[in-house]
Amino acid sequence: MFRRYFSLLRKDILSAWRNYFFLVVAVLALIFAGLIRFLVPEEITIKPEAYYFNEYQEAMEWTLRNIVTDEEYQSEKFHKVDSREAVISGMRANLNSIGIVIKAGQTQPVIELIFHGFENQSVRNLLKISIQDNLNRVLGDNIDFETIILKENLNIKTIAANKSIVPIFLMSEAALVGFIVIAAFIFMEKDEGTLRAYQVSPGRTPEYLAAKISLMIILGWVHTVILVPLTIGVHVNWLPLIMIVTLGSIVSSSLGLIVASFFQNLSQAIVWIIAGNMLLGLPMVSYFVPSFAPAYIQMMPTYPILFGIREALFTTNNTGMIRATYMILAAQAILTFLLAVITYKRQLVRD
Amino acid sequence: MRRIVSIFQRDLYSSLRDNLFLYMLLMPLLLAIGLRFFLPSAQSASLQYALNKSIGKEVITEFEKYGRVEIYNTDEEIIRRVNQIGDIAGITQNEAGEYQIILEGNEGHDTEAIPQKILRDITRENRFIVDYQFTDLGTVRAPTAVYGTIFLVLTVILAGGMVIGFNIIEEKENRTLKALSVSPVTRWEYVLGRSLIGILLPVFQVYLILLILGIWDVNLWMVLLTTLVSTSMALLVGFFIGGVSTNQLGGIANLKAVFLLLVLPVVGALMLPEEKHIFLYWAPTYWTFTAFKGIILKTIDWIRLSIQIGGLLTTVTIAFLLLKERMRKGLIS
Repeated sequence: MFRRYFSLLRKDILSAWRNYFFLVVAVLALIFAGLIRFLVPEEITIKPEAYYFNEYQEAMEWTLRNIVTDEEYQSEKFHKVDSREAVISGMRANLNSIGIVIKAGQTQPVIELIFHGFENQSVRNLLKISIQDNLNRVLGDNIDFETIILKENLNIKTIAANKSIVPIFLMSEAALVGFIVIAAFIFMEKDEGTLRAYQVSPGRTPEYLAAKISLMIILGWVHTVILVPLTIGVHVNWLPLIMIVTLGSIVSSSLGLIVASFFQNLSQAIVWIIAGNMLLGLPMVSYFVPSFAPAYIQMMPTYPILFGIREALFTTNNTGMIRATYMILAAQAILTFLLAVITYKRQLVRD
Repeated sequence: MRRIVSIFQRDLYSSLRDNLFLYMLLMPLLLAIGLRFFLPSAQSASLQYALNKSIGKEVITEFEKYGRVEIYNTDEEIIRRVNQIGDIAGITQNEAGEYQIILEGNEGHDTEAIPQKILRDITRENRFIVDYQFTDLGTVRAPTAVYGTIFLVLTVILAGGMVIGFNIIEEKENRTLKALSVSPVTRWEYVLGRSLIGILLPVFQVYLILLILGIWDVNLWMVLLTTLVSTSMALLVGFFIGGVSTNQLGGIANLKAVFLLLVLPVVGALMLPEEKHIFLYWAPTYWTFTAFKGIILKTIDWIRLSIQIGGLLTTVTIAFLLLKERMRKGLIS
């Protein structure tokens, strides 16, 4: 069995090599490394732009003028303008913006908070409370409540924005490479008649599929060992990183096999593979917006892959999370591989 | 003309027989329906708090105004939750009844700062009384809806080209392409016949996506023009992949490389400031993205749209001229 498996693996590696797959994976890793190091800035913020107009000229005007001098807004994202119309005009040119107009009311100042219209109620309440809090602090109210930091000894806050996207590339290129590529392998061998010839050989379906999946794992390793040292360095948790990439490759390759088993050729399968790839990429939203992690995204196989890779690269000593990631991915890998074997056995019988 | 239509009909019948046509219709339909369900939850994303039940209903109700609240019975449960994936602030009280905030240490600035503000608001009177007024500009389409729609539109336009590309690779492997060279069909007739389905189908798909997502109040003529011109980009991708790839594996390898060139400018258009967009002018997908963005947000007129269309056609033409010879050799070999 192992001899047949290694023989198939050698054949697949040669096939991938001759079709420049190793070259493409390596070049893509180098391109991503170049983008991360030289193009993506170290600081990216998605904070909204703020347009501000103060027409209040009465008592406590100085206090109100300082309400938005929170450190967040001492930046190029804060724009002081000359009229309410200019606030609205600035906002209309930029969907990610808010407007603040301060004016006199009948008995006390009025702060008009201008939104686009799609913002939810908690966002509006948060802006209001931030401004009110700043007002109180300007008048000397500086009480802070005790904050307990669970992992104070770790320097985990200083991940640059460009490095923080490395897990995204590792998930999509190292772990998910099999989802698209393995289908191409299968259809190519089907067209060449290799699949049919294999049926009359002593080889079994699990060995055949395992060899293909092993090639995807190797491609994932190649991408990882090129990208990570060039971007993060060599001082990462290599063992968990390689384990997660390996298990992720098994899951994604098996899923790719299952999707491809329903179709006769790559042209039919490619539209669903693209759609599947988009769905599997949804956890990236939770990665960039940590407060958004609904159950249907957490259930995606790529969710533990993405956050497991992040933990391996930028460790917080969360060994419990790494163990849980191994268990989830191992279970998914076994399940999806078994399903892939069953679907391919049925397909071969049908053909 | 008859030969072009004949090739188109052959493609169409083949697509219908293989259910490819059905898949090409179903895929954007299902993705659009999925996006329609995804968008409301994405737009309601807010900060998260893990509260100890013992701090009282009044405090819990107050925190619910500022995000999503999870209730726990003990501090140990809160600590376990805070240590999990995601930004969440734990709120509890010590034995003296003083409020405490529990953080893992890697949360974003808002998750750290906002609980302090909420607790200050709960525990003290405001020193400075102001009235607050909320005004809406009437824009109900959030950035997630706009950009999600544009990504979906770009995907279906490019998917058409990819299908053409892989069909060509299949014909190369079956030697059908070689057989065409002894037929009266010229190269340009073959290209045009093959392209028709890639030009017509995306128009229907894009309108279907806009209808499902409720973005029907835009200038539909602008949508038609932009979609038709954008298909030139998809066709170029398809013929390039089909021409230079000798087999399906090579097709996938080339697809990965080409996709990177197509997707990165769109990400750049989202993330980079306006003055840096000049570095993205070489990319056809950049022009398609900005055109659709203007159409959906209704911030574009016909003159500005013609500039975007001009940019798109120029970049596609330049790419075609650079790759023409390579594609020609690949199609006749």
